[in-house]
Amino acid sequence: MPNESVNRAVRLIAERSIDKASQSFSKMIKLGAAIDLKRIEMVDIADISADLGGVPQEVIGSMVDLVGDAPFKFLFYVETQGAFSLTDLLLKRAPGTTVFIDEFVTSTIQEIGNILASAVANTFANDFQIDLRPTAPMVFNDFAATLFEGLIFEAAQEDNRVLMIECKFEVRKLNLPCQLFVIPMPGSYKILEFSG
Amino acid sequence: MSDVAQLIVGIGDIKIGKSPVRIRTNLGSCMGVCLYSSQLRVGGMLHCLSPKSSESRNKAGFRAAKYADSGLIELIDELKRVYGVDPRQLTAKIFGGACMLKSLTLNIGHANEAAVREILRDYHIPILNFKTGGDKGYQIDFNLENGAVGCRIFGQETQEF
Repeated sequence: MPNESVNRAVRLIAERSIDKASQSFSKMIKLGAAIDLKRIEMVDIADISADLGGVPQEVIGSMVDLVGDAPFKFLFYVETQGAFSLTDLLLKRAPGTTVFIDEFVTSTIQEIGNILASAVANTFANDFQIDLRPTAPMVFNDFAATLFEGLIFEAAQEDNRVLMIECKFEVRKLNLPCQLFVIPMPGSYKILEFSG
Repeated sequence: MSDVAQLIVGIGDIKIGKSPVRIRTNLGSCMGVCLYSSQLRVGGMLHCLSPKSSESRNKAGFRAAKYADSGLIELIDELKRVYGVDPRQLTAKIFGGACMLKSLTLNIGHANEAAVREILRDYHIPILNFKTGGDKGYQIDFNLENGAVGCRIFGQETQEF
């Protein structure tokens, strides 16, 4: 279980990495993106998954394992329609061009996940000297709660509570909310303790 | 429907209730087990993520509902304790156990389903219906008015079981 030192370290990492992720994302889409760090706290796996389970949201998301000294798991998702808008934006298509999930949509979400996860990994490496590398993003189209189950599944095997970093960000011009979660895997706490 | 109480079950949790309550959850590799007594019109749902509890029982913070074996026993005991249900009255419907993240869950969905079936067999609780497997998420809605379970797999229409 994480102690105060770990919580402090995670908060520092979260604030810096989310800031960098926001800058990288804005640069990528050439639009302003406002990021709101909603929570950094220990959450009960039953409570947090029940909160999401009450909302039948259909999303496309990108899940990334951050492997290295202090393994983390990362999930980014957006509602399906929002993914179409992002695809049009990145491919410089007229809004409303993309109307179904194809390889362009999948690649868009994969690339966004990669950029955001890499921003987090780079913060670890540059600011905290913790070696962390993103694996290839896996893209999923499913219920939000199901993706979330996948995010916390491994951590939930070890513990009843997980340390959760949750962000909401919005692509300003498109009024498009996106969700981002980062959780440290249980083996990371010892490494994080010395960074706090 | 809007004024019917709804309970939502999270990962590693149990919820019980009586008619006309509805109990809902989302599933991936986890299993959702719905137990129902048609005589008393009460029931409960378990949302478990691992098959067996044997390696975890002695650990601090052990949570029975995370595991198929201990979770089902807890659900049955809870129904008995709160509503006086005789386990011999119970029937089951089971859902989930998908193979979601091949690199991660290593087909734990299958193992979860097998463990659930084993425990229900041991308790002589018949499985009236089931929908399991695949690689997409499930939304299930358990109606304690009549024991029916609405199940929607992502990308498909809702079916009633």
